Amino acid sequence: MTDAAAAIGAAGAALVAARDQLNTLDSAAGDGDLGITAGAIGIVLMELAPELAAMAPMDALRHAAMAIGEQAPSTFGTLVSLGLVSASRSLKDADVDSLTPTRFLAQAARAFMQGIETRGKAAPGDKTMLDAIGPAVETLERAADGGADIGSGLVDAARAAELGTEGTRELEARVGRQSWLAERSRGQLDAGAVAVTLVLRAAADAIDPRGSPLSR
Amino acid sequence: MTANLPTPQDGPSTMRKILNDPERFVDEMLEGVLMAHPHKLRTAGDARAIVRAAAPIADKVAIATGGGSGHLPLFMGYVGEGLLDGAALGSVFQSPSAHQMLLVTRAIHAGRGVLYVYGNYGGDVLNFDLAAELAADEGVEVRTVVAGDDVASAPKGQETRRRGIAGIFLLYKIAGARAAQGATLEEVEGCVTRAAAGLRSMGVALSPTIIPASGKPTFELPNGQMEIGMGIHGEPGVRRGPIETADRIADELIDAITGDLELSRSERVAVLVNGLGATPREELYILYRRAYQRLTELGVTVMRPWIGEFATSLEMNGASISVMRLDEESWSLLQAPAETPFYVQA
Repeated sequence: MTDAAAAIGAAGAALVAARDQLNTLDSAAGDGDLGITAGAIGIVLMELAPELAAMAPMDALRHAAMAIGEQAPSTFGTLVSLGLVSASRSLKDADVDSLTPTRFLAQAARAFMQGIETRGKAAPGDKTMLDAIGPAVETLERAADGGADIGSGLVDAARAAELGTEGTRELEARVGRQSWLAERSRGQLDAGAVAVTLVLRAAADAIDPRGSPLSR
Repeated sequence: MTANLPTPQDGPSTMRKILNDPERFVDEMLEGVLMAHPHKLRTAGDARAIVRAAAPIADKVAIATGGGSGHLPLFMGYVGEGLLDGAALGSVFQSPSAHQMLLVTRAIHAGRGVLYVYGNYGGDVLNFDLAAELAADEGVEVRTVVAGDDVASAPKGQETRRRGIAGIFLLYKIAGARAAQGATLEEVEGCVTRAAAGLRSMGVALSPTIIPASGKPTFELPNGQMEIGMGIHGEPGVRRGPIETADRIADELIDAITGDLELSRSERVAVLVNGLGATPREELYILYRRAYQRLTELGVTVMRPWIGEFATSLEMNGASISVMRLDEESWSLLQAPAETPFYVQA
């Protein structure tokens, strides 16, 4: 499905393009290197996009987990890998062909999020990437329930992630390195949440350019 | 970067180190170790994935560990017969990657499963959990025992938050010996878990460690002061005060440990007195003298001591004491022979 390859590649490109922005954001209250991790993940996605799109979903998620685990060994990268492993496992007994693309994405995203929540010992509200992922997952599930196609599902999910990310501005970090500098983190967006939003928006634009807010 | 750091030729007291480029500290250390012991150790697809030269060893559960550099003989020093099969190593005081641990896992797995035994540090737990998940997807069964013996790092009731320090050596010994007997993965895991439940440690630091790449100490400790309960990466301890006598220190450490363990009269224990890197062996024996007396006063029998450097923190001045409650099985396993380039027990 060339749509998937285009979406994955676009998501990767968006991360690579945002390296400096994410490093700067991250340096306010963190190590200042989230852009490096995001860029490494982006390169993996760009290079593997056609291969991943051609694989069975469970294998693709595991393959991506392995590659990201190797190329992005920071906490953020490792958590993303663990999320992808969780998503891959969730498909073990699923009859993927019977799922609509939107439902498939919603289920995989939910499992991805659960993997990160468990391993990262965090939840939405802690000022992490989960503040973007949480709203996106809920939106995808509602989209699947409503029979929406994947393009509009992603557009809505990206918007929800954006709102969730904006909400991190006034939060104080509760986990991770940022939490040691919690007060300093107030007033800044969480870099991980921004990265998630960029990925969703790029994927949405790749699949359904008409859904871009620029064209509405 | 390097040009701005204090070098051994520059500052008097900040960089008393024998090294070349500080950024190459770990790599050159590993190269030296492999040059010294080429028939015992080898790499497994990454310079920081170290395994037994003869790995995979057939017909037994494989044991792996991992953690940051700067603690020799911990972690790599216990890779060898009767102990561990492999170790993933990070930069100084930093976690190795999941990928490095995965490479170790693949290289040592002999079809009987793999047991990870490592210290409770957030980065290690996250990265090794990922390695275990990825290994599982490749058909390798991995189980994990995380060591949290440092009683100073979290109160009773929150044992899962405790850090792992030198007592882990005793867990390695148990794991390695049980695996060498041909036990199943479940049996080895159970054995190590039981031993870990009866293991407690606590330490004291008298001076900080200097990280090679930064030239800076990990914390400030004024001369004449000691910090009880400091971690092996310089994590804060439970109290700081003037350096006391060896007997007072031993009493404080032993009492904290035995209180937490609720040791009772006529129990049998193993004791490990560990030097953190800059403490003379003579001082470790002075500490052991009082530890042994204190335990004997409590009616506890010390079956055997291990005294020396088991888990250092580069040049930290200080020591830790570990006490492990023994049963017939664990006592027998601790006595089994073992041999690595860094540790020999007949």
